[in-house]
Amino acid sequence: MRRLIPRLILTVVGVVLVLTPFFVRPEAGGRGPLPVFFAYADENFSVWFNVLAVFAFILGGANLLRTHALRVRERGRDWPYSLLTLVAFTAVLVLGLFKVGGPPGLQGSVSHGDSALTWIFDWIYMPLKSTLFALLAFFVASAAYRAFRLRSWEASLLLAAAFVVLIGRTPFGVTLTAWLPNVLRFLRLDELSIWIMKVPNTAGWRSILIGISLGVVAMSLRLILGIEHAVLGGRR
Amino acid sequence: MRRRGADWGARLAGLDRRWIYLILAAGLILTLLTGLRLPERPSILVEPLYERVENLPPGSPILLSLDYTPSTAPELEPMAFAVVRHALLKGHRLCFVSLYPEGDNQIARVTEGVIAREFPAVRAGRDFAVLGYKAGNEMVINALAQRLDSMYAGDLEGRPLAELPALAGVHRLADFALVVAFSAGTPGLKEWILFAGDPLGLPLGGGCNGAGAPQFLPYFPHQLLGLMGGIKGAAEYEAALRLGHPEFHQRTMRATEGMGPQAVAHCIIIAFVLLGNLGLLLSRRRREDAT
Repeated sequence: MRRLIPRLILTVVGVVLVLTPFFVRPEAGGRGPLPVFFAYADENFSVWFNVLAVFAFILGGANLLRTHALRVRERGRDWPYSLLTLVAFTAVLVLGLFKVGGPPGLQGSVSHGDSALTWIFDWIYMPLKSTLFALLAFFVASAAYRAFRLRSWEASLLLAAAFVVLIGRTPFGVTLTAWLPNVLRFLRLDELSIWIMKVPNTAGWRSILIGISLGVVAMSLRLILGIEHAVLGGRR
Repeated sequence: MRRRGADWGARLAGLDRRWIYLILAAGLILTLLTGLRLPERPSILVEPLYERVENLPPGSPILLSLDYTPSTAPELEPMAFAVVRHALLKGHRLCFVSLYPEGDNQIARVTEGVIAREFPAVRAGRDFAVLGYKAGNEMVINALAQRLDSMYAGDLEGRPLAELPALAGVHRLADFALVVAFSAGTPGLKEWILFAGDPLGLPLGGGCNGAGAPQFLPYFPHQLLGLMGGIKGAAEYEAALRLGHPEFHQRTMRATEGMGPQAVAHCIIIAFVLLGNLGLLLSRRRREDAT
């Protein structure tokens, strides 16, 4: 029963949502009970999903608290970091829930300029995340230096494409080949870099996207038909 | 003599990464200090989006979805700034939403950084509406496609949607003249294409971080009318804005400022790639001579 009911819900919701686009909506002239039902389902299933998504936050928060509290209690590996996580989590949660510093009331905005949460966002969260992400530039430089080598024909092709895109995406690239006449415009580095991204790159991406989409369709069918059990905690 | 050259080859091919970090940091700091500004012009990816905003009748409602976090804000925020500037200059009405939990604060940075400073006559609720973040990823888009008030009872200040002049006549996504999603990942621009742009035939433009741009090009120009890729895309939009509106000519704009350091970083990376390959060739030559 514990598995059957969720599986039934999954199948019914899946089938209804798949069929929804095939029925004309009542406001567009669809008549009869089926268009009304499918329009209702289309409108409300999304809202129900979004309500569930909010509860997922509560579950996620509770799980985070439990995991780190256990680690602190047992003095597990790197437990001071867990303690820091707990303190930060609790502080931000309390400041946000009670809208400290901001306009009072349930309808007050947590992102109000005077709120404590905005202060944390602007002066702690933003600099920390920006700094971490900015470090990527250094790793990318080092990785490019090591990876782009003329080791084979394919690697040389990759190097040439990377070279054109890297330089073509800067104003230097534009200036460097701006003298080329209009007949040879396609050889200008900026145009060439867009061509590489639009033509060979698009061809590659399209095939990847179509492959992924077919995989998603197959997986969704397995879920809807009840063949795939792993999602409900069972065996495949 | 040849032996010495081959040593150089090995050195160049196996350079300590700390040298790369040091030279890159020095290059970036110097460029930031000197304030290097390079000329920019709009590309074929950015121009259609600019033209769309430019040619909409004044008062058209535009939905802006700020789906990014502070980590990618240096690339995406200048795009949002540029589009907001342009839209308000043309007298359009704006509506801000977000699919990211950090969205409310990101929206506040745009409203305070651009609207409050540069457009003091523009009023929240009358000229723009801030609806903010909602949990649910692509299902939020799906719900907005049916009815805005199914997801948002009011704006962030608690005013009911029906009382907001900025949203007069706007009940669902299809009522917007344009949707622009600034996206750093999932959920983001791809979800806006799949759940709004394509099924509703909605004019959709987008901005994404530089690394994410290649995955959106298959959607251009049919499902995506314009794309700003990374800070380069933002700088191109700013360039279009300067070309079309002389009042922006002297104004400092963040993406154009950011392009100097980025261009220098690209050149340093290219120089290191060339050095690495030169070292590899020299080493290979030495091995061939030895055999």
